[in-house]
Amino acid sequence: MKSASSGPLSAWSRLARAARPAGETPPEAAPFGFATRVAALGLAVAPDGRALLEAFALRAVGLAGLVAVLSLAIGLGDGLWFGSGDDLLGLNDTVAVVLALAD
Amino acid sequence: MPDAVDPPPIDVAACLERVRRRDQQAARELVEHLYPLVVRIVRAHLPRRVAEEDLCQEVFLKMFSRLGQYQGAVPFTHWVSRIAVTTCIDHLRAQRRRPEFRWADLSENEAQVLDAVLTSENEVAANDALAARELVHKLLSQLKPEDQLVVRMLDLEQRSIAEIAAATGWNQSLVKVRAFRARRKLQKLFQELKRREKS
Repeated sequence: MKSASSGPLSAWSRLARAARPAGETPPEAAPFGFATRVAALGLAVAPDGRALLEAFALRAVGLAGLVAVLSLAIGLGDGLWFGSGDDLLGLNDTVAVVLALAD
Repeated sequence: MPDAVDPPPIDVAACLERVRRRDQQAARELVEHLYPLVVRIVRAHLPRRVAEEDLCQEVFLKMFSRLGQYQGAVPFTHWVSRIAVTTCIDHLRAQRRRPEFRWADLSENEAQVLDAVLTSENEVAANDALAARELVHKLLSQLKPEDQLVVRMLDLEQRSIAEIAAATGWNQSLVKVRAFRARRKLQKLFQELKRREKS
């Protein structure tokens, strides 16, 4: 990171250095009753619904992928089966047979 | 800067296990243990008009509601500090940014400090630290919340890039980019102020 050495950027460095002492506050314990109140509230609230959704999102994506692959496989199978059925249908079609013989 | 606040030692893993079993005493111990860490983050990035205690409470309530998500991949204190950081960013985002930074908005002390850092090579007087702090708040309010956060941690708290990355969950390159962007914006602000002072 380029440090502030001159010009306006050094103005920021000087300002930040001057402001630092005002930000130094001693470590502080929780105000009286804060922990008790927050613990009670924290345990009273139900787990975040969005968080649960996030936790299951990856599994849901995996499951959706599996279902998609299965659907594709079944659909492809059906397609092949129908394809062969069409061929059979074609053979049983009198007009198609006549046209084929004419060729 | 080393962590000024060292929470009292407790067995966090055991405490978390008890909290998951809805043990109030354990939840209280956890809050007391983490309070110095959370209040330090909140105080450093406290959006104006939001009470410190309210923001701390919000952080802890989020922590409890998301406890099921904590897998132990990072230290628990890092996980909580990320919640605190994102909570502060959300509040900063909710605040409207001032359209422009003006000399006229500054107090007498703040104007003196700004004049000192812009014009002279002398250091700002030690008793002007509070005015300098206030001035920093006003200048940083012109930046995006994420950039404010990075530049505060880097230049005011003097934390390393690695520490910021751990506390925010952002990778180190992103922290560097944000710091660069923030400092460039500050540089422009100072140039603009200097130009207006001359005119």
